[in-house]
Amino acid sequence: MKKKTLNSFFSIFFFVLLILYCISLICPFIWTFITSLKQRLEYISNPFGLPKKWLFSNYVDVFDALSVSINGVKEIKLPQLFFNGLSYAFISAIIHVFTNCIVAYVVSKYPGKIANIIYTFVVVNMILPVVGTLAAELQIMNTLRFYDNMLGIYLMKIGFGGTNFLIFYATFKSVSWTYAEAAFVDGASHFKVFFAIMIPMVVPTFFALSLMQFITYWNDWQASLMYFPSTPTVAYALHTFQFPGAGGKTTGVPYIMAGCILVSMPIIIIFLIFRNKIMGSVSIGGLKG
Amino acid sequence: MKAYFKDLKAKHAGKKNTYIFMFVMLCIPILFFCVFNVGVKLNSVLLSLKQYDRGDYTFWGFGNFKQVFYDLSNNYEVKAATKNSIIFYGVNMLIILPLSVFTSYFIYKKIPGAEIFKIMCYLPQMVSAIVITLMFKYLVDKLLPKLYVAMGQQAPNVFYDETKLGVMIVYNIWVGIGANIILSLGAMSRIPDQLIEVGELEGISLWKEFWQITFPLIFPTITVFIVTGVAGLFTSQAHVYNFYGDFAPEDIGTLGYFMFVKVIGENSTPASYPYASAFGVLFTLVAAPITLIIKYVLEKYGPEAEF
Repeated sequence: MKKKTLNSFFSIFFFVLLILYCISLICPFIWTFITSLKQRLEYISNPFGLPKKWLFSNYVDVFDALSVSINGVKEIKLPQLFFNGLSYAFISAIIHVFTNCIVAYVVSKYPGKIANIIYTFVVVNMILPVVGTLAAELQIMNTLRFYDNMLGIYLMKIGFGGTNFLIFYATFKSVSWTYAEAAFVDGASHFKVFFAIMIPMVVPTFFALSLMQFITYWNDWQASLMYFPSTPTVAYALHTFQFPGAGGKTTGVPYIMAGCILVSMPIIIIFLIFRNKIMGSVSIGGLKG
Repeated sequence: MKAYFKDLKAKHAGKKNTYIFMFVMLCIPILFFCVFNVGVKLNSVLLSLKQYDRGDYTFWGFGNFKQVFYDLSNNYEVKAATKNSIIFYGVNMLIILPLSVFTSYFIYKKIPGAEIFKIMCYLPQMVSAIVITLMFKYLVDKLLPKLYVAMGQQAPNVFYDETKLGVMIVYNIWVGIGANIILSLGAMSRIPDQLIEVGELEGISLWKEFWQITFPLIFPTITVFIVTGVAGLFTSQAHVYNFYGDFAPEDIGTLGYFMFVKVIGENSTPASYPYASAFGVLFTLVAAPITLIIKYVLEKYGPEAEF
């Protein structure tokens, strides 16, 4: 498609609006970066000016200054918070995406009653909103001893449904079954066909969804609050820093802002590198059911 | 005859292998789906009929529902939460969704700077909500009072005075515009080029092209946004917890925030679980038919286009 020129009042107006919106998005990042290089007292007296002295050392100090206290007994510092966030995001993303991949594969390639039931469940689950189930979920987690237990948390990611399932379903539907038939003739098992033929064919989708899921889990600060408070992630720690006495310990806004930059940098870099994979790989038609 | 039996045996073995494969692949995911999806929902209904009494849950009939109905009409916090939820839902559907779709459309049409707009608009969705919240919170907390003073007015306590609802609405719009960009762009990129080229040959403006070609063709995706958005009326915290934690002012919370704090808040106990579940069950009974009606109406009366 050729580039469009702006030829009406509406298009020029919206174009200007978009520019202003983008400026409004970039300004807080610049302000946050500048603030992160200030002394605490300088931030209070001069919140919008440039720092008198650019304290890049804040980014070193922040590793010691920011921590989360677990029941007032254990102090978890920033490196451990990063590790917690990273392991939670990585393991959860792989489990969640792989589960959706195998279920979608079976449903799309082995049609029958079971496949129909699963597909119907997924669609109905997406359309019909069931709200306020957090209490019931926590009760079941407590019963199964999954609460505050990372193994239990990871096991809970063995679920399927939602957009990821539908994307894999559509992807496998578009993969020809003749490859599998040829492999069956050569004596390959169903497992071999899946792992050696089908999985390599959906690697781009698998990679894009894993990446998006990783980013979602990395950013998910409420999960730690709700399900595993003894293993706080760095995103959760940032939330606690704004409420003195709520478990988060900090020595001022510049350190919190430095923490914000540190948490967002990996994601921004990943996004900039893989933006075309992330933004170009997803589409859904509608919800027929 | 021998060959026939051999063939039959092979067929049976093939079927058996298929069933074994399906069983191995599906049994664990289905088990977890049953426990943490279906089981949780059923447990929510059961929990709503119970009360917490000396360390155990006992059957209490509709007591929690009576309390919920009472609170909906008498409790100031719940009434304010209901009002705010409706406001945020309205903002979401009437401001954020159209802006999001228009933004996607402009990016899709490759206007000058489209690639930069795409990255910038999606940035709030990529970076953790808590990071965006903290940036906005500390910036606005310093900036807005200065603006008030510059206009000769008294500086407000931004997140606690009467400015708070307006600020929260602005924040929700500010971070929400990029929310649907990926799916909107995905839908627009599926539109055949020939259809667009016909419009371009006729020299129609972007505005006309959007309403006459693009909008009808991406309407199924917009339907998904609207249909799945109904639940947000009852579940969305509208970022209130990000800003205030457990202790938001009474008149700024939403129903989603109210239920969340009841279960997760510092003062919550297992005793509040049945009450929160009753809220959830009641709202599900309201949300489910609304969702189905909206879906039906949009599919029946919305623009139809096949491509």
